[in-house]
Amino acid sequence: MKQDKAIAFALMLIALSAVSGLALITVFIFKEGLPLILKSGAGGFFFSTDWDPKAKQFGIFSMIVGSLVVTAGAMIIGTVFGLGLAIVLTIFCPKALAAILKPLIELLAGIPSVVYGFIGVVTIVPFIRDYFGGPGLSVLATSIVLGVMVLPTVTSISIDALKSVPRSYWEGSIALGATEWQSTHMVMLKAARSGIVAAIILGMGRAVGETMAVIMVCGNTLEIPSTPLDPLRTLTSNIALEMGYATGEHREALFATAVTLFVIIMILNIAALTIARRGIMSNNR
Amino acid sequence: MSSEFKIEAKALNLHYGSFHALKDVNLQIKPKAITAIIGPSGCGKSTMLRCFNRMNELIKTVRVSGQILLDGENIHGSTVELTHLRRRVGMVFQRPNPFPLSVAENVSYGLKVHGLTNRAETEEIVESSLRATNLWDDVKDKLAGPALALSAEQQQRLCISRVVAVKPEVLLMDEPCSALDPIATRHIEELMSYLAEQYTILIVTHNMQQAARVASETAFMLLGDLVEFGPTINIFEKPKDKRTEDYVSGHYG
Repeated sequence: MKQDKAIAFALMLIALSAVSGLALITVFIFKEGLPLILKSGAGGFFFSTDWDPKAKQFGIFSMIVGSLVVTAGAMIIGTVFGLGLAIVLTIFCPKALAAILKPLIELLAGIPSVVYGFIGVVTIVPFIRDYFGGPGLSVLATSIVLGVMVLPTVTSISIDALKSVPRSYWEGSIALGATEWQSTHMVMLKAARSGIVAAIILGMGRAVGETMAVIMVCGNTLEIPSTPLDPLRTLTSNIALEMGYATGEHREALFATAVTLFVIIMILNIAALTIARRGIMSNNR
Repeated sequence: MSSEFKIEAKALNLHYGSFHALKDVNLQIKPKAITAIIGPSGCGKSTMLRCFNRMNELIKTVRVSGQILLDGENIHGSTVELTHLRRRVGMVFQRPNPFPLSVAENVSYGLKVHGLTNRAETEEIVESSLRATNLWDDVKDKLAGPALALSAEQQQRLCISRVVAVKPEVLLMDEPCSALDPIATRHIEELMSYLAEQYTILIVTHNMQQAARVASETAFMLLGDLVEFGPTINIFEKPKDKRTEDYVSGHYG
């Protein structure tokens, strides 16, 4: 009994230290970043495109746009392919094949992001440069790389969502004379909707936060991209590129960029959790 | 080619892998009447029912041999469209399984998958189908509300409306009342008797009283064999087969 209590106490301590680590990081980022945001004001920080650390101009608008644009692009690619894969694997392909393919797709998540970036730089970037023009380092290249990177997340969570749909819905639809495809998009996708939305939002969180691969293929320029072939800079790449040599207000501005990122990702995660939970409740009635 | 029977099963055999689930079954179903299939769990009665709309084919290991004729035409024929067959032969399941859509969308689902896009016509059929199952007055104010919010009995009525909406000829009911309380069961039974004026109804039930109450003909199955088939009153009051007698008198097993 005494031993049980001691172990429980030790485990509790470990769990608490993990959570407090999270809390400390949050406090630290905000403490370092918030003063600069307050000083520059929302207009001078969030809505200015003028990022010039030497002249003490810290406007991150072009990076916010950059992050949002490539995330949107990645989600279009990731959702089309990820959801498509999930549908094929749960509904249309033989179970034995699905049992092999699903772990393989999940394995994609384990590849280091620098490898994705590297593949992007040596294959996708020159391809875009040669066939579409522009520098190749672009919104398009970044979206493709990120789209592939979020694929495992979107696919495996969508598969779980589709699998949790009661089989009786499928049978009911087939028994009414619906084709498999009609049953899929009119019943299964609707029934799994909340899980799929959660999958997409979680994928979005990954895409917004990805850094290494993005630095390698986005071009890191400070302008707002006007076509998919233009280079860009994201919030994450801004921090990673400049943190090494930043001091003073410049350093604070990078922390402020991190605060922005932190808030965006928190919102996405909370949205995903809320939607997924609502879905679970409606499936259980 | 016409026939006095709506459905005929001839020398029907079905295997799940190596398990012989239906053994040489011959069955003739009269039109616009209720035929019940009774028997203990695992006797193959649900499998039998699922032969008539070829739902067993959702399971990959199933092999069927023999013939099933619907209006004299083989439903396994190469020209038979599965979707069309399942429109003609509708099915109601053991547990009410309305889709997680609105009440109206559930009823119009079958119309939509069969290509009806006219809105006025759809609304008209939704109403008439809900009236046919006596559900209209209960749900007319919540047609846009979620079907899953209805009571179990209402959900089962909705599932019947959903099938009725596509104007089937045959209704297959797989223990349609087993998830319902006695009062709801009585209501659904009354509904079945009413629907039998228009449709050929096959019901699988483990409830012998239910078969006795609603069915004009009854089939008794045991371990994949069709043991006895005939007018319900004969099955219950003067069964020819010893096994039928044991089962209907409660001595089985």
